[in-house]
Amino acid sequence: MSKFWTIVGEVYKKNVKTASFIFTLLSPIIIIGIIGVVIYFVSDNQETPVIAVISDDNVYSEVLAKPNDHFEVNTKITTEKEAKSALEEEEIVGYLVLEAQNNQVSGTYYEQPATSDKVNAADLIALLTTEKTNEVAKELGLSQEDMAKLTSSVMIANQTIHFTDGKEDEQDEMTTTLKTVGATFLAFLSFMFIMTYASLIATEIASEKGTRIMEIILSSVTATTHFFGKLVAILLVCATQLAFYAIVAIGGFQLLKTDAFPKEITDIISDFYFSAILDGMLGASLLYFLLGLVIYSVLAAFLGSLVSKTEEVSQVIMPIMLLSMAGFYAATFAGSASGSTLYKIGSYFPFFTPMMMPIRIANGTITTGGIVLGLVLMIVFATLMTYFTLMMYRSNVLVYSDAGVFITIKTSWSVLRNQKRK
Amino acid sequence: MLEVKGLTKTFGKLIAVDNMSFTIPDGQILGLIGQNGAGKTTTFRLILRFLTEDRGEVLWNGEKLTNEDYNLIGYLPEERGLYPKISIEEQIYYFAKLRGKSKQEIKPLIDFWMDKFQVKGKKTDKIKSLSKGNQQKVQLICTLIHQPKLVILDEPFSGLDPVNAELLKQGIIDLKKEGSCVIFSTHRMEHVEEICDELIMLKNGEMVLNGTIKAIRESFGRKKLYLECPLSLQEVQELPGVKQVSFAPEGGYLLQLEDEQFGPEIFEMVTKNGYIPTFSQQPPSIEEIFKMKAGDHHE
Repeated sequence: MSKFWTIVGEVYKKNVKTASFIFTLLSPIIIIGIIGVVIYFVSDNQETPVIAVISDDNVYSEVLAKPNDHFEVNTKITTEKEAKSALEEEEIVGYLVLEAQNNQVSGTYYEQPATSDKVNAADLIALLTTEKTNEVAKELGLSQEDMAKLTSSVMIANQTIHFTDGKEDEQDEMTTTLKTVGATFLAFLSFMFIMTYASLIATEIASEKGTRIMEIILSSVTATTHFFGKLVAILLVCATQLAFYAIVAIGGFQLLKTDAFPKEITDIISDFYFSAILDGMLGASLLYFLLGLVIYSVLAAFLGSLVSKTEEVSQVIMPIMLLSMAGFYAATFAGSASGSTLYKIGSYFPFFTPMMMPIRIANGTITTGGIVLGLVLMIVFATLMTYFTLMMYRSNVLVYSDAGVFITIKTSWSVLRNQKRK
Repeated sequence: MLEVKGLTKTFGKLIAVDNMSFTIPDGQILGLIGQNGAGKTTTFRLILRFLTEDRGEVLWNGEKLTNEDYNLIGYLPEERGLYPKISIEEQIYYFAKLRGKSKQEIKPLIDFWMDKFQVKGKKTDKIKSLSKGNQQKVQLICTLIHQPKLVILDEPFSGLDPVNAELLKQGIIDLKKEGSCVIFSTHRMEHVEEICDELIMLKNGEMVLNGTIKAIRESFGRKKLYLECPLSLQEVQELPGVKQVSFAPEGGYLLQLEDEQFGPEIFEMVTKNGYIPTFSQQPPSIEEIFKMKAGDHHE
């Protein structure tokens, strides 16, 4: 096994075995699980409110007494007096007094103020109206078809037309929204991964420098081998996490499609929605995400190599936190204005691209040329930064200074110039 | 064989190593002494190519050291470093792999080395559970287990108790027997005298002493004389060429002579009445030379 893979293996093994990594891996699942359990108990505990119906006409009280999702009818209460005392005793949440005369149905619904289990009067009206319509139809001798004709409402579909490059874009509003949701989620993922892995890689390097293990390693392998070994190992740890989430997401999606869940939920997460959201996350956006991880990791490695104590890591990686946070906030809060010049310019800044660009793609405010330009800029920037970091890395990791980051950079630079002079 | 020729390194205006030259043949041990900041660690870093020299060169068997030679090196840095969270054997495997050895090659050797340095604990124990001294021994095993040909030890004795220092000393002598070039730095002069073939003392990057222990000591002249004889202090002070007299801690007198040539004359005088228990004319110890040289300001 080459020395490069020895380093990759060691760093990878060390990091995936930590409790914090396993917790990071499982935390979204745990959180979703907790939310699920809470929803389950909340919905289960909700009792169906009980009401009473006082009516001379049995037709209507029978309609309301049929089992429904909104309320139950206590059929034992038949007089207003009984109902009133039941309401006072809180046996029922309200009662309806109905009068039906000459096809006119009217009534009053009595309830206590501010009870938690309210019955919506609209539900009562809807049920009664349907029944009344049926009654009238029967009287007029209308057939089922005639009824259907009568009650069918006017359909208006909503379609938004986008014009991109002077061409009509057939994407509808819904798809755009869903894509944006996907893109925003990706921006959040970027931010989260950058926060986690930037500090991981910086700590990894600073601790080796601080414990002087670095000196032993640099007397065994070149600084370049070591640097790339670390970088690749941490990116592999990151890939492990992503792969795990992908498997869980796909598994969860498959599970949702089975009959184990009510139709309402499976409908929401139908293939259409899912693929639209995914659409906002894949393709060029995913490339931005991955390149972003590389850029931030390299920067983190550089910053980590500047300090000699792990305690100083959180301080030194502040710029990473600020940059990624700025990018993330720009994407989430200014995303609706992704067509603005300022947003466009910002999205080409390599540190912001991974968060801001996917929103532009989702909103269709970017041309294919722009997407490619963004990618090229990121690749060029990543290459330059890796080169610069490598150049400084070797001297950085051997300069131990408590004097602060800038002094370290200065010392390191002079060491470097010394090397170059030769 | 390691050859260092005219090695010079400056950091800005500071001359860290100044025109340094020495040779360590295979199977020889070179001791590097000097006060803190004299340039010892910089010398090691130049040999290891952590730093690039301004002038001069470092040759291994007549050729410049390259990436291919990494596997020949055993390096113990001044401040020790191990991964606290992994086990002893994992640590040893990792560093050995970085020196181009496989796990299979190293596995059978671990017990031998742990035994040799009397490491307390099992090889599956985590590094952080070990005492500082034991961690240091593990570090030494990591430095030596791949049978390096060029061994560089920066302050290997610091932090070791006398028993463990003895084990390390034996370890270094074993390396010599196996034909390795060993270079180490220390502040403990007794180790230098006991195990070094050659010695270099650095002061502000400059070599102020260089040679075998014997030659260096002799070059200062046998101006020290231990004397046990029936003469009184007064009489001893009046002997020829005596600069200063004090009572030796182990009994008798300790004389400082103006020149070693006074020796035979004094010997004649103190033995004219026959037997005396001690007459020992010695050159200064390395420690005394060290203090003397370190104190010189005119250089």
